[in-house]
Amino acid sequence: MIRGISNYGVSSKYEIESNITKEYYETLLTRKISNKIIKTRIVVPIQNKLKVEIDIYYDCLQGFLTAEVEFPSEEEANQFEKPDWLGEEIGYQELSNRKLAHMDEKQFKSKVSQEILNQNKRIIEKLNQLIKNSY
Amino acid sequence: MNKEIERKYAVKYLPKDLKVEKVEEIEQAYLYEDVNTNIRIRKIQIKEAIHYIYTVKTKGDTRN
Repeated sequence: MIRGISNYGVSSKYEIESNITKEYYETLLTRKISNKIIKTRIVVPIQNKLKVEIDIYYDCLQGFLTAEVEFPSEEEANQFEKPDWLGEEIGYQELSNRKLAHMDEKQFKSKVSQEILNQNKRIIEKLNQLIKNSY
Repeated sequence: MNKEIERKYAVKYLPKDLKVEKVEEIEQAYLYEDVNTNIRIRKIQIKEAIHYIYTVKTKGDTRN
């Protein structure tokens, strides 16, 4: 398994999170160094108490769709057998979250095929229906 | 400090029995990034509740 800098396969990072106020958030937002990314995240449970976070992206990443699975250990991440409805692994560098945050629409479209975008479009329509029904 | 271990996939199709547990509207941007570290701010809306979060992420052990 290749990991680390290549960011392929299992991505492992340490993170520290703090809650901040709306005012502080808005001030910090004026100092951003990336695009603002807007997405809808749908959390669905799968096997072994794991959860999939399905993200639907908007704006210049319109039509992009990803599914992230978080694991309690690297061992479990390496041994994970994905459900059939999940496709190829796309955590690699070209489409990493950081790279995505700097792409304009043209750059994004050069990385993702029209075929995938068309397929995503159908899935996103179904997801939006599911979201509506969940409220 | 939490360790975030994840894998990211495309979605081929949706299974019939998909159960939506939670829906989040997310807006986010980066404030800083270098090879090992990034700082991200995020606004998360779940139904009526809105949270604002500041996150520092650093690479784990990459020697393997």
